[in-house]
Amino acid sequence: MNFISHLKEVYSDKPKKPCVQAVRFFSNSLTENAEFFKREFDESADLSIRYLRAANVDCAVITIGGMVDKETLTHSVVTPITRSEILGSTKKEKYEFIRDNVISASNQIQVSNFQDAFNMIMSGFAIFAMDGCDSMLAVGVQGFPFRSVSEPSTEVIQRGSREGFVEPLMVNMTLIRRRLKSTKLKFEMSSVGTVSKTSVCICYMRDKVSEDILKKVRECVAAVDLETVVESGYLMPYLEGDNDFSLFSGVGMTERPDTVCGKISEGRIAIILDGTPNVLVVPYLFTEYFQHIDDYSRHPYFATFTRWLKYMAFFLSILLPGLYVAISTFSPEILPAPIFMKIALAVGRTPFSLMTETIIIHLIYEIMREAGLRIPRPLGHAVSIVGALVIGETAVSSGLIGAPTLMVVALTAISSYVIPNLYEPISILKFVFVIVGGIFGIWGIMIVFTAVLINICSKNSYGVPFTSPISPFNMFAMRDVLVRLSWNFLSRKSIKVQDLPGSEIEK
Amino acid sequence: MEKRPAISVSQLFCLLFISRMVVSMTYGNILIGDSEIWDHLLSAPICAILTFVILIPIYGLFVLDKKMNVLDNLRELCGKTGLCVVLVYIFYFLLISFHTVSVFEKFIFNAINPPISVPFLTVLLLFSSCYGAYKGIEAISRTSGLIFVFTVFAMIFFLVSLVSSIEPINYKPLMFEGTESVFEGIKLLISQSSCIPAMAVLLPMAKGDHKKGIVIWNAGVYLVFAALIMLVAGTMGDFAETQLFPVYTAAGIGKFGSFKHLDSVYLGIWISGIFIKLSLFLMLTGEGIKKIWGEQVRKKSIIVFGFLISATSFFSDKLELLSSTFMTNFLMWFLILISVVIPLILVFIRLQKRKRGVYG
Repeated sequence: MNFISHLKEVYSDKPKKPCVQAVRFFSNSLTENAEFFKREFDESADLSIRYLRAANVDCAVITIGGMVDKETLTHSVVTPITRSEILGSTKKEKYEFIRDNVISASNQIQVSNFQDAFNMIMSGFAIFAMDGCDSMLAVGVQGFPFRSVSEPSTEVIQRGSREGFVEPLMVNMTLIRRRLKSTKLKFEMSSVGTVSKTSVCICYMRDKVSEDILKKVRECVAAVDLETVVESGYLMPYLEGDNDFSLFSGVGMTERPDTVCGKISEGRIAIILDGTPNVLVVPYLFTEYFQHIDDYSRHPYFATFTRWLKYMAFFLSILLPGLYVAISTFSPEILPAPIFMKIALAVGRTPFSLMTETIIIHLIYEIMREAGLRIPRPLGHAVSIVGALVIGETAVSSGLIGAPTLMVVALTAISSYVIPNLYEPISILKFVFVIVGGIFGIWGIMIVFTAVLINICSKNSYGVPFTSPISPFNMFAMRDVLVRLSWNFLSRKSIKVQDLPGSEIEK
Repeated sequence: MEKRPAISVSQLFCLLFISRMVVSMTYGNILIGDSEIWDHLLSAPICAILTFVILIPIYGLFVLDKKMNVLDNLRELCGKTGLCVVLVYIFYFLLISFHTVSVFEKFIFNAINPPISVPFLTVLLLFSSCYGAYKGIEAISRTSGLIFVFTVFAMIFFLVSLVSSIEPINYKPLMFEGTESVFEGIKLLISQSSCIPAMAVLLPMAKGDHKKGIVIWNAGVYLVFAALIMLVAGTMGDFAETQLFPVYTAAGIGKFGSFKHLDSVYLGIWISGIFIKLSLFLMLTGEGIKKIWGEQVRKKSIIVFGFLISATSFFSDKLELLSSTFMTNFLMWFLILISVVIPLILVFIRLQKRKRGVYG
């Protein structure tokens, strides 16, 4: 298959074939079953099979080392089985007696095939098996180490809860349940990844969610045909739904349980993946990039002010470098004379054209940013010093780079951090606008900017226009977009995401 | 079943308003020739009434079946002959796209004269517009909704900045040199009403109160046009007659507080408007193609037409054609053919078929 046909297959709308695995059931012989476990795991070092004898019958407790809490296992499984008087005449009766009366763990699931048993032990369950029985008991004794609940570093707030999602799925579900004590809150479990079998949970409010959107999300999750899924970002292309190219994503990501609660209360759906603190939210609209949980705990007028700042910062970060290059190169008459003189003086002293200079500085900045993210923390200061001294000081004083360009790049960089979730499209678009501005001037920038608007406006997130409620416009829904009205007003009527103007969702 | 795009009536008329305003903003000697721009103030209300009259057959056809546009009607009522007539619509939409690009080039070349290659800028515009057309009516109308807001603010800003510069002495008596300019103005304004044939295709795609939308749109378009003429004539007087693009010149002299150089605001809005108009008409061309050859050909045709128009941008001779009386007359009669004659025939055929019981 050539590359193009492979791409066509990947991006085709045809449903992908589901991966079907043959199910192998347990035999009555414990030895055979245990051997199969060993064979499948190829005697892996972390597979532990503890043989016991209870009521004159051979039993085994199968676990994965490090996944179970040994103390709980001893107290609720091993000790009760070995020390209790087990009633029953047949092996099956004895197994049932143990299941119903002896094992004291609260979470018990009966399994009858190896695939389920593998999933269970790899999720931290202990499998209790008895000779002569064709089913086994999965006992919840999970006890793997995990990071404690802490404030997410990517979504810092001034007021409100400091709790952020962590890696274990169950803990994340608890963090949501604690905030929404409603019977309407539902968690739906499934798994993704043919090899990793990562647990994924679809979370929503039954009375708010649109059945249409829910169905689409289930289909998207079921369509994931990856072997391993270790991070929620892996699911994003599948959840985007349509294959139209857009720089902006219709899938939101958050580490905050309070944000998720707010979103699902408006009819959205959260997708929680085991092993990652990043929870996905769909549908996700353009205006949501500019909303923050902090907005809702501040005074409305200040929240409105910060909203405007964010919108301004977004447009500033994508357009400022391009406009700077375009205006200084082709339309300097627009600038006030003193500013123009300063720019002209700086450009005259540097060896590069304004466009080249701006691209170089931006590239250096991006390299430094990437280095700052990847290098060990103790070395972070070194990068800052190199950045500040070498680029900020020496490059300007040596005449390689103009001071106005450096200032424009710095302002752009700071502006782009105001909306961290939009950093990816911003970083690409600013380069596009610098190149277009350097070749076609402000006229080219206007054309490409309108094309970007078309790109944003053409996007739908699960049948809801990405730019709703700005365009298509709805005055009532705008109460939490360009302005944030007071809670007295917001609480009068909530708008579900499927009710936004232009939505194609059946009501 | 084919998924019908759905936009609201307000979105549709925002889109059409922008498409119409783009033409009004470049109104000037390049298009009107020797005609008196001030007398066109009288042409505006007459054209507003005429627009309502021209729209009657289109609206009538729409009322008979609100799910079908003129192209659907042609296919369904006239079969293969109808598909041949669809080609006439395709030609018209293509001609308007070409005309829009020509105005763009003429404006950029004469009013701004930038130190960049105008044909290459045109190619960029067409390439981007093809993308807009490819994305479809929903994307274009949503974008126009955003641009509409900026347009309205810019217009208000423009109005406020120029009001103080108006000299009452600049207002001459209307029809001072006869009524010819008024008629010329009517002809020109009608020939420029390419939004009317566009409406024949777009009306069924919009949900809402169409009648109200048409009234507000028509009134808005000619009110703004009249306001522009009042401003330009009031601030520039006879100087306006010497300018190729007097509205642009007026924007350059406007001043509001410490804000100067409103021509850059004008440029921003105008270029976005041109983009929207071009995307719309390329999309409409594609719609016609779709009716004959299907969706796949539609997508390809947009790119092909984009390339075709781009290629013509490298030949400057066509610019002279714009100001010719032939072009104005041709566009006007062409518009009457596809907005009045053909829809009237279709209404007649449909009513006949209904009488015979073919339709309920």
